[in-house]
Amino acid sequence: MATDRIARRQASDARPLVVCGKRGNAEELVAIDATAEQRGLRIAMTLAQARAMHPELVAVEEDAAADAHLLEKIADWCRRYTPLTALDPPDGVLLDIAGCAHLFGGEAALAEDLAARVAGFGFAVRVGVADTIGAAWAAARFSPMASITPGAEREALAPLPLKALRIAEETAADLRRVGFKRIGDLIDMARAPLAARFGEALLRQLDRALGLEREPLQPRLPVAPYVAEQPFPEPITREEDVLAVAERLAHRLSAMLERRGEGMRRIELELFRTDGQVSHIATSMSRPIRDAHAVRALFNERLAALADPLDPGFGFDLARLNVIAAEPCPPQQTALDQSHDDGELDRLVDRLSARLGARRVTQLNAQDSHIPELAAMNVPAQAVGAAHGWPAFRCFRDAVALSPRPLRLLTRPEPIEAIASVPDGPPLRFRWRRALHEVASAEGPERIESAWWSDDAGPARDYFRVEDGAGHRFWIFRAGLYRDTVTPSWFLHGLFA
Amino acid sequence: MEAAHPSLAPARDSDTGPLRCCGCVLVPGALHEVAARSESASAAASGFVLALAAWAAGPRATLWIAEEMALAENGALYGPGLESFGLQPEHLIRVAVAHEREALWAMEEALRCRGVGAVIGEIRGTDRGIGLTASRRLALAAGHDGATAFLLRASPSDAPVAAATRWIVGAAPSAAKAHGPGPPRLAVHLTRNRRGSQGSWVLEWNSVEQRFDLAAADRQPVAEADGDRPHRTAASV
Amino acid sequence: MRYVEFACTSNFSFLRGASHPEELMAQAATLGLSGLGLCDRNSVAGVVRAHVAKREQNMTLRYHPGARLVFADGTPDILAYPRDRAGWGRLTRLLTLGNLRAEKGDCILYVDDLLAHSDGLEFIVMEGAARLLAQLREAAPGRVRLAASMLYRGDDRARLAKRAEQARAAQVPLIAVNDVHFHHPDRRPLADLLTCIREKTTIDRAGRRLAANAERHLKPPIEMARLFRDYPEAIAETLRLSDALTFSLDELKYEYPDEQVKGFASPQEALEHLALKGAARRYPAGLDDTIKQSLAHEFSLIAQRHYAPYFLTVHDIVQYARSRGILCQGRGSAANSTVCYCLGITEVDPVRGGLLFERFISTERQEPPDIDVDFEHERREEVIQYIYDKYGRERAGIAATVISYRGRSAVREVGKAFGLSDDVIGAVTSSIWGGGGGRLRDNDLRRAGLDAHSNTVRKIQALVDEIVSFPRHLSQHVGGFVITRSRLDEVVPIGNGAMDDRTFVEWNKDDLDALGILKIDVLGLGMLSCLRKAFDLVEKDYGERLTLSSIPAEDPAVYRMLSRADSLGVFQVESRAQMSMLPRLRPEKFYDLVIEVAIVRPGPIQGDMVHPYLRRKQGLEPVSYPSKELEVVLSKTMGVPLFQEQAMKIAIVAGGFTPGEADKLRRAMATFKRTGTIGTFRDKMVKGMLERGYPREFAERCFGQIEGFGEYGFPESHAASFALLVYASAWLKCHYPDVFAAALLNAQPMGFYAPAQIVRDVREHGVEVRPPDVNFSDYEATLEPGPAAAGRLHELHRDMAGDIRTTHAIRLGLREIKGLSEEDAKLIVARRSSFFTSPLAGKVDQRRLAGVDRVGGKQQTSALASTPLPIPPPTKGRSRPSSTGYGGRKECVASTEQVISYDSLRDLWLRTGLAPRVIERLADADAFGSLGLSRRDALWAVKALQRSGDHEDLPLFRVPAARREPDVALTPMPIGEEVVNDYRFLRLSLRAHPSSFLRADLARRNIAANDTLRATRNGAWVRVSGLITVRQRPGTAKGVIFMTIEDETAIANIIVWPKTFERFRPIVLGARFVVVSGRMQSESGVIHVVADRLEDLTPLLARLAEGGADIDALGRCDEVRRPVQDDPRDILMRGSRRALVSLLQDMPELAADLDIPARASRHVPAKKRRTS
Repeated sequence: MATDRIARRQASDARPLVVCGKRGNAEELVAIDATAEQRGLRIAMTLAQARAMHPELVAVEEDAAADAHLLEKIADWCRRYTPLTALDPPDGVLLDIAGCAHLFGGEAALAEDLAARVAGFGFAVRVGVADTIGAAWAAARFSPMASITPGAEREALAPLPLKALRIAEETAADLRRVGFKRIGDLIDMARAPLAARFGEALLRQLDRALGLEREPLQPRLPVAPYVAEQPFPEPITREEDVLAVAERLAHRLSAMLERRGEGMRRIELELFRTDGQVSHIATSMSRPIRDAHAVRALFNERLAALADPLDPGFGFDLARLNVIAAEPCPPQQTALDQSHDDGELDRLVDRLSARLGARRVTQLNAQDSHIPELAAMNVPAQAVGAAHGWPAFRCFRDAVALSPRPLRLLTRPEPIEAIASVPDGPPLRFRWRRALHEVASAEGPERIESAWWSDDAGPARDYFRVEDGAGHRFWIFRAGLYRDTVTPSWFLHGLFA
Repeated sequence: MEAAHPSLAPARDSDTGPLRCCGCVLVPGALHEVAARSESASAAASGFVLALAAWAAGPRATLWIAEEMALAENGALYGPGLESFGLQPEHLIRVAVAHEREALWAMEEALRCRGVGAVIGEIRGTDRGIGLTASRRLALAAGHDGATAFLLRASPSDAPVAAATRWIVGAAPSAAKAHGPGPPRLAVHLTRNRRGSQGSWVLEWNSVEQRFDLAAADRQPVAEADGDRPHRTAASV
Repeated sequence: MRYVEFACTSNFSFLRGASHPEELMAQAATLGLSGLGLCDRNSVAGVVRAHVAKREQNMTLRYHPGARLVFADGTPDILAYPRDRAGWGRLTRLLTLGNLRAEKGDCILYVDDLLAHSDGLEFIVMEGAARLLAQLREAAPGRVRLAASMLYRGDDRARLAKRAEQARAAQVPLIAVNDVHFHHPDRRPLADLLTCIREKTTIDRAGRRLAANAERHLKPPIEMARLFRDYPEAIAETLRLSDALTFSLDELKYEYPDEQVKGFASPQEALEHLALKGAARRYPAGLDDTIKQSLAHEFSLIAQRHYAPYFLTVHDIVQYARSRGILCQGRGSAANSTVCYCLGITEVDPVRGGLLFERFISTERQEPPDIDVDFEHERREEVIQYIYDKYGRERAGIAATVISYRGRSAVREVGKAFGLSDDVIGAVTSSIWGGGGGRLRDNDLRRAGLDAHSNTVRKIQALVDEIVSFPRHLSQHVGGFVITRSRLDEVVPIGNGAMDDRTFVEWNKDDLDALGILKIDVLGLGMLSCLRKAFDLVEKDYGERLTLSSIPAEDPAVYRMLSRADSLGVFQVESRAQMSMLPRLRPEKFYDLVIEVAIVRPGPIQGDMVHPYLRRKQGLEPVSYPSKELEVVLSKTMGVPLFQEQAMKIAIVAGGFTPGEADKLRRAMATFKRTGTIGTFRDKMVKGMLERGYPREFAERCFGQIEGFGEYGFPESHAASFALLVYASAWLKCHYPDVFAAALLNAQPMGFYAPAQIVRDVREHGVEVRPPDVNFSDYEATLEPGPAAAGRLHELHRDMAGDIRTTHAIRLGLREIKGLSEEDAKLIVARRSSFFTSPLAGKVDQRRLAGVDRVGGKQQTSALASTPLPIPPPTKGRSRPSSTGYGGRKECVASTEQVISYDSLRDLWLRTGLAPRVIERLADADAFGSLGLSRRDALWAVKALQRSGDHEDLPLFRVPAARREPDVALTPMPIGEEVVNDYRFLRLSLRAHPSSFLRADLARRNIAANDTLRATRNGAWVRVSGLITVRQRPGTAKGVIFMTIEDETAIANIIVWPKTFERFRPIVLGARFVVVSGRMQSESGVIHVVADRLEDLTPLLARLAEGGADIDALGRCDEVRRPVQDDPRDILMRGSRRALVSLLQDMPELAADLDIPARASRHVPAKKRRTS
C-alpha cells in the first residue's frame, strides 16, 4: 500500500520502488512494489543490500503517519457501501456488508465493484467475502477463492498457511518449526497441548475464523443517528449542485427529525469523489434547526470559508448528509449567530492581509546566519509563531558582543565609489547616490565570510560603521579581501539612526 | 476630546519616557508628525520615531506602514538593529502599501485595533500633504483606543495637519570616540506643540536606558531648521 | 618583526582544531614566527607531533608545548605553559586529575585544581575576569597574562582598549594571541565541517554556530604587529614569555624503572647472570664460540645503553605468564637476540636458520630496543593486571591509539554534514570496499544517485580528503605499556579507558618512540590461545606433553603438507594468497617459512621483489647480486631484498645513508601523509645508488620497497618469530588434525575461516565430527575416542595417511550454538556432572520453602531471586517432578544422589533453571540427540515449559502441569529443512551440504561438482556452483573480486573481473548460492575459475525449507559482511603501479591479502564476535 501511495504521487517509471524504515539499527525495506518484487527484492532486506543489488532503486523513507492516514481515507471511502467500516492496520479495511449488499446487486457484485474502483485509484487490492471476519481476512489475503460460502470455512481455510489466522508472525513461526504449516494441520489437533504451548489466543483466532466464536466489528466512526445519501449517475462538480444536494438531503432528514421532535445540532456532509477522495464538511449550529434552507446557507458559508477550496476533481458520485448530533428542537427557527471573537490583532492582520495581500503584511524573523541580509527574514504575519528566531539571536548577540546593526537595511547592497586606505581600512570618502560623504569617524572591519558550501556564495565582506561630517551614519562593506583580490568593490548596505 | 488627551505633557520627576530630558512626556492616543530634515536624515528620523513609538506601544504591537517606494529608497527596518531603540522585532508588524491612500486606510484600521499600541505611517509625498481631513480622521482613530499615531515624512512640510506635535529631525555628529562613531545624536526641532512650547535640542540616544539625553557640550552648533533643503545641496556636490 | 603565537589549537582538540600539529608547525616556520605554543583543550596529545616535525625538519623557531585549560565551573579558558621540567610534571598531573575524574575522553577541571598546581607554569587568561586574574596572580605572581585578540569582530580596537584597561587594572601584562584554530584560512570549510560534526547538525543549519570568518589562522609577525599597533607591548610580551619557557620535550628522556634483582649489585649483573643460566639450559652441550661472542657483544651494548632493566622487565613479565601457564612469545628486533633466547623471551634460536643479527640495538640510532610479547588473547588481561599491580597506576599505563577518520567514517560524517540522507550515505560508503582510503569513485557516487561533477559533491570529496587521517578520539593501544621510574603522570597525562581497570596515557607509540620513552608491547594473539588449547588436548587425550620448543623441528611431513597448500587454520599462511604462494615456494626448511610470512606483504610486492624471488627459487633464473657489498646483505634471500632490515641496509650500504638517516627515512614513510618530505629521500637514495654504480631501475625498486614498508613493513625479526608459530601450528595440523581443529574452534574468533570451513577441512582429513549435545558436549569442543583418521582421508590428502596420528573424534562444544551464552552453556555442563556438590545445597531450608506456600506468588519469588541461585528440585531416576505442588520437596532436598546425565528436556530445565527460551535454543540447535529427541520433538517439549521465560520464573515455584498430555505425533522434519536449521543455529551442518539436495537439479543444468575441476584441463569452460563463503575486493587489484564458493564436494576459487562484476553486481553482493560459468585457470596446482557469468540460485535453497532457507556460509574474511578497517591501499597505490599490476595479473589472488596485512599481522580479531 505504501508503495502505491508513493507511486500515485510520482510519475511512475520502470525502476523498482521500495519504502524503507529503521528496524533496530538497520534500514530495512518495509514495503516494495511489484517491480521490486520481480527483481528479487524482499521485505525485511536491508536497504544497503537492496541498493547494492539494484543501484537504480528508488527508496522512499517510510511514513507511517501517511500510510495510516491513507488507510483511514480508504476506509472513509468504503463508507459508500456501508457505514460499518473498520480499520485493519496496516493495510486492510473491514466492511460489514450484511444487509446492504443487496443495494449493490449482491455480495459478489459489491466485491467486484469495490475491487474495480479501488484498483482504479491505483492500489493493488484483494477482496474477500465470508461470514466471519477471520475467514474473509484469510480469503482476501491467501485464498484463491475470493468468497467463502457460509459453512464451508473449514474446507476453505484448511489449505491456507497459518499466517491466515491473523496470529503473530512469531507464533506462526513457532508452529512451523514443530511441523504445522497449514491451518488444516491445527483444526483437528488436541486443543490442550496446543493451548499450553502457543496460548489461548491461537485457538481463539481459529474459532473466530471458523465461526465458532463471534467477533464483532468495531466501526471506525460512530454511525450517525440520521443519514441520507444521494448517488449521482453523472458525477456533479459545481458548488451550486453540491449546495442543492445538501439542501435536498437536509430536507429529507428534516422529515425524520420532525417526527421525533429533534433538530440538527451538528451535521456533516460527505462527498465521495470518483477518484476515491472523500471530503467531509462539518458545521455546528448554536441551536438545533430543521430548516433545509438554513442548512444550505450554512454550507454556503462553510464552502466559502474553506482554507482549500472544494476540489471536485472529476466529480462527486455520491453525497451523504450525516446528522452527528441531534437535540430536541423548539418549533421556531432562529437566525444563525455568527459572532466569534479571536484576538483583535489577528483580525486586523487578516483584514490588512486580505486587502493588501499576505505578502505585504509581515513580521521579521531572525534567521540563523551570519550574513546580514539572511539574518532577518520577512514572513507573512499570518503565519503563526513567525518570530521565534529572536531569542536565539539575542543569546548569540550577547555571547559574542555583536557589533551594532543598522536600523534600516537596503533591499540590495548598493555599489559606492570609495577611496580607502589599504589594507583593512575604512574609506576616507565615498560617493553614494551621487552624494559625496567625507568619513569623519569609522569602526571596523567586521569580517563576514560567505557561505562557502552554497553555489552562489559571494566574496567575503569587511563591514564598517562610518559617520560622515554631518552625522549621517552608514553601514558599508568592502566585498573581497585584500588577500584574495586586488580589486575589491565597495557597497553601502544599511543606515544607522 | 483632544483636551481630554493631552498629547505632550510636561514631565514630572516620576515620569519616564524617552523625551524626559526635554522636559516632556509623550501621551498616548494622539497623532504626531515627524519629518526628516532632509532625505539623508531619514534614518535619523526613523530612529527618533521608533524610540517614541516603542515606548508608547509598551507591550502592544507596533505597526510600521510604509509606502513601497519609501522602503526601496531608505531600506526596510532591519530586525537586528531595532532593539537598540527599544522595539522588540516580535512586536513589530510591517505593512507595505502601494500608495498614500492605502497607508492612511491601513493606519486607521490599525489605530482602531485594541491590540495595537503604536502606528507609524511612512509617507513620502511632500507636495500635497495628507490633508487636514485625513489627519483628523487619524487623530480621531488614535483617540479612540489609546494607540499613538505617527506620521513619518521624508521632508518637512508646512501643509496644515491635525497633529498634536510636529517635529523636524536631522542627523548630528556623534561625540567622537577613540575608535569609531559614538552613540547616535539627533538634531531635533519641535515646531508645533499644541499643549506647550516649542524648542530645539541635540539629543543623544542612550540605548541602555532607552531614553534621549541632551548631548553634552555641543561640539557644533545645531543647524537651523530652515527650508534650505540640504539634501539638494548635497546632491549637487 | 618578531612574534610568538601562544594560542594554537590543533586537531587534537577534537572537532575544533582544523589543522594537524605538523601543519601548524610548518606554517609557523614558513611565516617566520619566532615560536609557537601548542595548547589543546585539556590535552597534550598532539604536542609530540609538533615537536617531531620541528626536529625532523630542523626548524629554528621555538616550540612550547602546553595546554588550554577548559574548566567545568565556568572559569574562562586559561592557557598553561610549563617553564621547566617540574612545571611540565605539574601540568600533566593537573590534567591527569581532571581525566581520572571524568569518563573516558573527558576532563573535568575546576579552578581550584589549577590554583593548587600552578608552580612552574606560566598562564595566559583568555578573558578579562578581574577576580580570576587577582586570584591567579596571587597564586602565580608574575606568571599571569591577559590575552587580547584581533579577530575582525568590528569593534576590535575598542575591545583591545578595554582589554588593555582590564590588564592594567589587574596589574598583569597584556599579551597578543590570535586564538588559532587552523594554520591557513583555506581550512575554514573544514573547520565549519568539524563544527557541524560536533554540533550534530548540517552545514546549512549550523548558522551562527559556525565562525563568521576565517581569521583564526596563523598570521605573520608583521600582520600581528599591524593589528596590535595600538598596543605593541602585547606583541613584545609574547617574546618575553617565550624566553621564560625553557622546557623542551626532549627532557622527558629515558626514565626506565630500576629492576633490582635481589642478590645482584646492578641490573646488568642480574641480566648477565640470568642470561648465562638460560644459555646453559638452551645449549646443554655447551656454548660454542659464536654464541659466546654474540652474548658478549649484546651484553656490552645493553650495558652501554643501560637497557638491562628493560630486558629484566620483559623477562619478569614472561616469567609471570609462564608461571600461570599462559603461552607467550616475544618478537621484534631485540627479541631475536641471543640474550632473549637465553632468557626464554623467545623460542627462536637465532642460530637456527642463520638468524644471527649483527645488530639488534643500534648505537647510532637513539631508538630504544623493541620487544613485543604476544600472549594468548584470552588471557592477556591477566598479564596486564599483573603489570598494573606490580608498578602501580602512577608508574604504568597503556599507550594511546589515535583513532582517525578513515574512508567510511569520513564519508559518513561529511555526508551527514551536507545533509545527505542515510541511505545515500549508506550507498556511498558501502561501495567503499574494505574501508577505503577515502577516495570516492565517480561510479560509486553515481550509483548512490549523486552527480560526481556537481559543486556540492566536489566539495564533499575535497573535505573527505582533508578530514581523512584527522584524529577523532584517543583510545587505548592494544597493549603497549609505558613503565617509568618516577611518576608516570608527571611525564604524560593519564586518562580512563573505556574498559574498567584500564588507564592509558595520551601519547601513542610513535610519540613515545620519538621521545625515547620505553614501552613494552603486551599483545594478544589468537594463535597462541589455539596452540595452548591444542597442547592441553594432546596431553589429555594422547598423553603427550608438547611445548613450542619441544615440537620436533624440521619435520618433512609438515613441509610436504604446506607445499600442497593444505594450510587451512595454519598461522599466517592460511589466506588464499598464501595458499597460492605455498605450492610455488615449496618450503623445505624453517627459513623458507620466514620468507613465506614476509613475502606476501605490500613492501616486497610494491618493490616488485616477489617475481624475481620466485623465479630464483624455482631455478628459472640464476642467483646474482647487484654488487659484492650487497651479497652480504642479500645472500639469505637469493639476492632479492624481502625484509625491512634489508631495505634499510641497502639504503646504508648502497645509497650512502647513515644508519640514522635510514631510520629517519623509514619513519618519514609512516608519517608521509602528514609531513610530505618523501621526495628528498627518494632523490638522495637514487642518486646515492647511481653514484655507486647501481642501475636506476634497481634503485627505484629498492626505494619503492621502502615506501611499501613504511607503515606495513615486515622485519625479518618479526617474521622469524611468526614462522615458529607457523611451524608449530602446521605440525599439529599435520599429525593431530583433530586436536588442531578442536583448538581452532575453541579459540574462535580468530583467523580467516568460520567454524563450518574448519569442520569441513578436518572431516576431509578423516576426522569424525559429532554434533553438540546437552549430555556429551562441554562448552568447548572436546575429543572423544573415535575412528583412526588415517583410514578415512579424502583422496586429496591421501599422502598424509602415514603422518596422521588421530584416533579421536571431535565433539563440538555448546559454544557453537548461536545465541547460547557462555554462562548458560557452562551451567548446563556443571549441572550435568556435579549436581549436588553446590555448597548452597543445604541452605535452602524448609522454612523458607514453606514461606512460599504461605506468601505465595511473585513477591516471594523475587525475594528469593535476589539471594544466590536457589537449588532446583532434584529428580530421581526417570521420575518427573511430583505433580502435586511442593509435596515432594522434602524428599528431594534430602536426596544427594549423583546424577550423571540429563534424562529429559524437562529434567534439564529443572536442574539448570534456565529460561525456556534458552532451552529452545538448544532444541533449535538439535542438541537433544542423546535423549532420542528430534529437533521438532525437542521444540514441542520446550514449548510445553511455561512460556514466560525469564529468570524470576523459576521452575521451583511453579505447579507442574497436572494432567498428562495426549501424545502428539509430529511430522518428521525433512532432511533438507534439518540442514537449513543446522546452518541457522549452528552455522554449519554435519548432516549434508545444502547443495547435495540440489545435485540432481544442478546436474540437469549441466553444472559440475567442484571436485571435477581438478581433473579439468587448463583453459576449459566450466560451470560450477556453491554457497558463497568469501568475497574480497582488494583495492590493489583494480576492482577484481575474489570469491570462494563451496558445494558438497569441494571449494572453488572464483575470480570476477570488474566488467563481469558490474554486470552481475546484485548477484555477487546479494546471492548466497551461485552458479558460475567461466574458464578454468590452473597453475602450479592453484586452480581458479574466471567468471564469465553468474546466476543466482539462492531461491533453490528456499525449497529446502518452508519459510526460506537462511543459510549463511560466509567466512570471517568476507569483506561484504565485515569491512576491512585499516587499509594500506593508499600507500600501495602511490608506488610503482605497473609492477604491481603485472604481478597481480599473474597471481591475482595475491592482492586478496594486500588489504589485510594490518589485520593479519597483528592477528587480533578484527571485531569481537557479537554475543547475541
